[in-house]
Amino acid sequence: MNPPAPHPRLFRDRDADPSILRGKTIAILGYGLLGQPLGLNLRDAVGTGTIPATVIVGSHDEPSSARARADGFEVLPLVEAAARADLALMLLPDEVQPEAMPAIGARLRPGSALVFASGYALAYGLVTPPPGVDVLLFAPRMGGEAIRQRTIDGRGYMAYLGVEHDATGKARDLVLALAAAGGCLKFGALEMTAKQEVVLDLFVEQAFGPWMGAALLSAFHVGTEAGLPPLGLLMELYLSGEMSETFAQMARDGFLPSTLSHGFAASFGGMTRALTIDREQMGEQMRAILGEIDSGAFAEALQDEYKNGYPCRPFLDKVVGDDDIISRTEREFRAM
Amino acid sequence: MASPAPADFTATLARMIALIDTKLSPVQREKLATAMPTIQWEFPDVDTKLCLAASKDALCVASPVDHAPFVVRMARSTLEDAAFGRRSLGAAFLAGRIHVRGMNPLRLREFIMLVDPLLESYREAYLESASPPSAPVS
Repeated sequence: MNPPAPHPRLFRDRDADPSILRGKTIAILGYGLLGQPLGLNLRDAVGTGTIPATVIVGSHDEPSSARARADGFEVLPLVEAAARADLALMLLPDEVQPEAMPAIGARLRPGSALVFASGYALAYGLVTPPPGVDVLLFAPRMGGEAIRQRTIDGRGYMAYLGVEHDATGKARDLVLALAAAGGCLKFGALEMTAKQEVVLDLFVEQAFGPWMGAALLSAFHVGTEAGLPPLGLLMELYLSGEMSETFAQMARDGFLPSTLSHGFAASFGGMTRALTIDREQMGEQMRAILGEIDSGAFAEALQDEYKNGYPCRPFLDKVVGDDDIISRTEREFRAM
Repeated sequence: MASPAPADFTATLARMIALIDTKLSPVQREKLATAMPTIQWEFPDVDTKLCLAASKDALCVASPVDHAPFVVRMARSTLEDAAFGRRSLGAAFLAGRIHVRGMNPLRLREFIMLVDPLLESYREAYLESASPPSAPVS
């Protein structure tokens, strides 16, 4: 067995000097799930006050452009925003970036910085940024809503950051300044390569997430078939918030200690049942998934899906959009 | 709606496969053959197994095997509920009523391509089998 990889370096606010952003133009390329909260965070941090910088938005679709205008941003076509930028944040969906990159890259000025919020396109060689620009990674580990809320609350959020190409000799300082202004360094950021970031992200999404979802669905359906009340099952599983409190407790107190804090009956029952789960099979599947992520096979399938107009999307949307008993039970609870 | 008798179920499935074959384009058939040359369908509640073998020229019925590389398992009623619009395959999947083993999830597109023709073909095959034979013309 390989020894564990060493801990990446952890950066906090004390490691960053956001004042180096003074006078710079920051372009948010893509005003979606991540673009909106990061744009607002950056404008709050550097748009006024002691570090005046300009935050603009580049957008290629009207709903996003309208949202950005409603939030008070100057909105330009993607390539025009890139041309104005000292720092351009590439926030388009992963699979769209390869197609958009040549036009954007051609307009970036030498000495500017191109910042990726996901390592996907860089790690799999799907984009080639121009050689004269810094290529940075600033990848928040939160959904957009949480990024914004936790910044407003002053808690910050976890992110990964790194330098993929240092054309100016100042790339590290720049990404730290951006992370601080973006609100994450109050919590902290770990230094990662683009490849590490994307493999970690996809692996947990594809190896852990489906097991958790499948366990939840199975528990619900087995329970309801046995006559347990559907609403009670959903309460136990997630509706009451107990499960999210448990995850919060894991983060606060530690994973193993948290398993002991629900009383002996819970730990006795949970631990004894955990012993019977076929972890060999689970591990085998997870290793296969990791192999396909690491080799680029998953990226190839995702790019193929994009190039062919997302043929799997209607099927997946239909699975999620079906009127399953879980969705009905949730609706009925909300109407109570 | 009464289901075909168990003995007829295999024949209905075989007819379904023949009908699917007429609904796929040569390009689709070739993609399916490359991605998943055999799909074994298992209906344990009626003790029925049937293997769909795809080549670039045709889909056909093959003998089921013990350790098929790609297996889709469900109750017969799950297939019929989906074919007649009573409960979608998506809902059945979420409810754990469809078990898929051995599929390469990165080839989901090829499998999805088969779903609508399959349900439509089963419906047609079912209705054909349920229809009484035409009276001889005197």
